Amino acid sequence: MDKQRECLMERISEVSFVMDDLRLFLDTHPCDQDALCMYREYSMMRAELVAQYTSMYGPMSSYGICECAEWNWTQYPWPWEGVC
Amino acid sequence: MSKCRQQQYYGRCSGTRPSQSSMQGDMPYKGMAPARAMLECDCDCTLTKMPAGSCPSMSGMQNSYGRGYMDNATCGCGQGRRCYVTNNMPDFSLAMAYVPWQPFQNVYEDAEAHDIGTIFADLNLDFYGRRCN
Repeated sequence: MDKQRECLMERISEVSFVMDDLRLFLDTHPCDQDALCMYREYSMMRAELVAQYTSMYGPMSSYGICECAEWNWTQYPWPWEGVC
Repeated sequence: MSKCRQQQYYGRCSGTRPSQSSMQGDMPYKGMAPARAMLECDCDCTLTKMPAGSCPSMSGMQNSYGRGYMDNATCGCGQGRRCYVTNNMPDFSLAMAYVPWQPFQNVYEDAEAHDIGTIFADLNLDFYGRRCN
């Protein structure tokens, strides 16, 4: 995995984790405006990062991809390809 | 922090360090039998006097707990006095567990949070447990 891809993946992991922990907090504090605001912000951030990753390296999951004419999912480079 | 400073502990201020057998991490001893709850601790009993009439006198009450009497004059270094505490949450029902309400504050940066395992600094707590032998 090249450095940039690895870096993007790391950013996505970090942002996703923040959202996970915010979700847990919001489960018990459903009306906390600060937490809600931060969740919205990170939601947008994550969507942008995933869109960027997808445009450069292909889809991150098989859900929501439109491989209508031909199933391309397995034809994108695997994450470990190009490392050695 | 000296265990005597934390008011939920029983403590005998004898000026010695916490002994291995009496230490059980940082868990409070409230409710445990007095013999097990006794700590040899650093001598610094900065305990305040209870309001008049709220606690009976401690004379002769070697083995009872749950009654409180804290007095700076008697809780001194080397005097071997006992420091007891009363229930300091009298409005709360007994035999129930309470969790303080967490405010939204002290949030880590993304990379830091990912590394530590929580976004909340207030929840980044050290583990003082030990295995049971």
